[in-house]
Amino acid sequence: MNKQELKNAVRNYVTAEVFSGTMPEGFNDDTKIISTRLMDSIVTLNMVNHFEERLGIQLQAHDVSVDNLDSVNMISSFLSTKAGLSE
Amino acid sequence: MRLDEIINACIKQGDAQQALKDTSGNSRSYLQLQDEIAAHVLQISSRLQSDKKNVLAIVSERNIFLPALLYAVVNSGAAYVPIDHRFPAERISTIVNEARPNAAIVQNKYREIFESACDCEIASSLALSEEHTLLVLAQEPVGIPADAVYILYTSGSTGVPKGAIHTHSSVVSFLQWCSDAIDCSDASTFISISPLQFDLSVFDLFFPLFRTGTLLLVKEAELANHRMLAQIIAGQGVNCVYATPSFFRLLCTGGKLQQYSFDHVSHLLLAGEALQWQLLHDMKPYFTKAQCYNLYGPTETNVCCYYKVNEADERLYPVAVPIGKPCGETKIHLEASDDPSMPELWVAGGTLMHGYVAGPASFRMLDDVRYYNTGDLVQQEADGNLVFCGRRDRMIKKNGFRVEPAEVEKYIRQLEGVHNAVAAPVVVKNSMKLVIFIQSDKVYNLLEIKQYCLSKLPYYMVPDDVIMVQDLPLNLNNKTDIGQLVDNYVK
Repeated sequence: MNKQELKNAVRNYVTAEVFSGTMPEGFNDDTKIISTRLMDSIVTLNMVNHFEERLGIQLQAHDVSVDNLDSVNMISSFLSTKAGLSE
Repeated sequence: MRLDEIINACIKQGDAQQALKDTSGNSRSYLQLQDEIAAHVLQISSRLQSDKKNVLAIVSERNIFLPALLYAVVNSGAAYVPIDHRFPAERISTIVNEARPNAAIVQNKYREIFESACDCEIASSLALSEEHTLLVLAQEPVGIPADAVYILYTSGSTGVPKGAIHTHSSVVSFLQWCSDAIDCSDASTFISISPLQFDLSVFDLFFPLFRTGTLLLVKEAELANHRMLAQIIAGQGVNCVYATPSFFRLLCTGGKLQQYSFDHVSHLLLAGEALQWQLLHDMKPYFTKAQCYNLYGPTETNVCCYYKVNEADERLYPVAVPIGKPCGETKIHLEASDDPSMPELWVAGGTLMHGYVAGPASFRMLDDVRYYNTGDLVQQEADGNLVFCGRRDRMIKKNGFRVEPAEVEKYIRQLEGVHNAVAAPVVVKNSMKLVIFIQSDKVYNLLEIKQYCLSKLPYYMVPDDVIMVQDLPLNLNNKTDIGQLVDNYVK
């Protein structure tokens, strides 16, 4: 998986779990999702589990934070760095 | 006996033992706590008259300063009404306008949120701690009984939240029962998981005093991160955890529990929503030494029934973990409902609330005893244990929080072009979604609905999906056929 594929996968995950499968107009990869409470802690943790498994990585407890995971772009860039993905 | 007398007696007995600690390394002994309470009582009485019943709003995270402030409020003879700083302005002002607190204890970083949401004048202010300020509000509080201790606002079936008033006697009845039934040892460590407006917090805040225990206070960011919480529960040697089944489910799925030893955890109390055996099976490998309890009771009654988990009982109650038998002196009455096999549960006893701040409660008199009609349908097994079967009305539980669909519908109906709206729970892949069906001239997408609801309602009441419909189907009684809507949605 490269960085772009990961970003697509993150966007799809958020679309499925936060927006019931349909990306709504007005939402983009920079829209804040945790600090605005659009995505709750349950979905956040499930998402982290899902991508840990797909990428074969393990996040530390303090990594699971709004500072790292507040938008599709932030999530994918944080996970990319953790997994050492290429462009 | 009054709660303040018990608090003071327990704190005196605690002496040099540790009463509070947080995850930043701060702590307070019982002696220090006693001094802080005394100082806060003086501060509060310097600004508020003691000859009337004061009502204080509490707008604060649960940090190391908060317990002393709350105990001081109780010691001052006042009642507290928690207001979650994460609530939208409209929700805050609804509560402030109804309970009309004449003062507020506000964590400084939320002062602006509170002041801009409540439209009453601030008469004066006084610094209480490094982080908290007392705001004296220029309004007269709502009339509540002299022995009221707290008012908890919960979702209301009429579309507006309801404030349940609890008194010294109802709180003390609950705590006495805890002391008799929850046999965790002296000097146990407890953790404050639930927000103040959720009645699980009453146990967290007051029960540790009965065991001269230590209450661990956790940061808000840590509370939203179950992987961090697992690390904290393990690292801080927590002995007793009281939380919802949803909380423990998240600990199991995302907490990476296999990294830690939880042998120090002696008591796990679960409440707030239905408990399935599968969750207990999933918890068992990690919490090998813990006794689990399923506690039951709406905000109006606090805990009124309980079941001490015995895994061998699963074959007796295969559907769900029982809610058990009445606590202590609690009386129950099973009132016949439409389905004779599932009567309605009525509850009487010392833990019952006084009533709501506004509007009638579903109290029923039976043989001169006042019962509260919970609206919950139950089955009673041959051994007397009760099993929860569902609701008489539309109220749902989402992650332990009470959600009345009528409150969500009320706000959606105020949107431009909307003729009607129905909110309903739908179970998809074992998880419950709150779906809003909207009949409207204007189309709304889920982002718009979520953002709008987040500006009006508590975060846990926001719909998970929206469906725009041409018509809302009717049943034979000319009421909206919610079953048909849900069936179509699932298909």
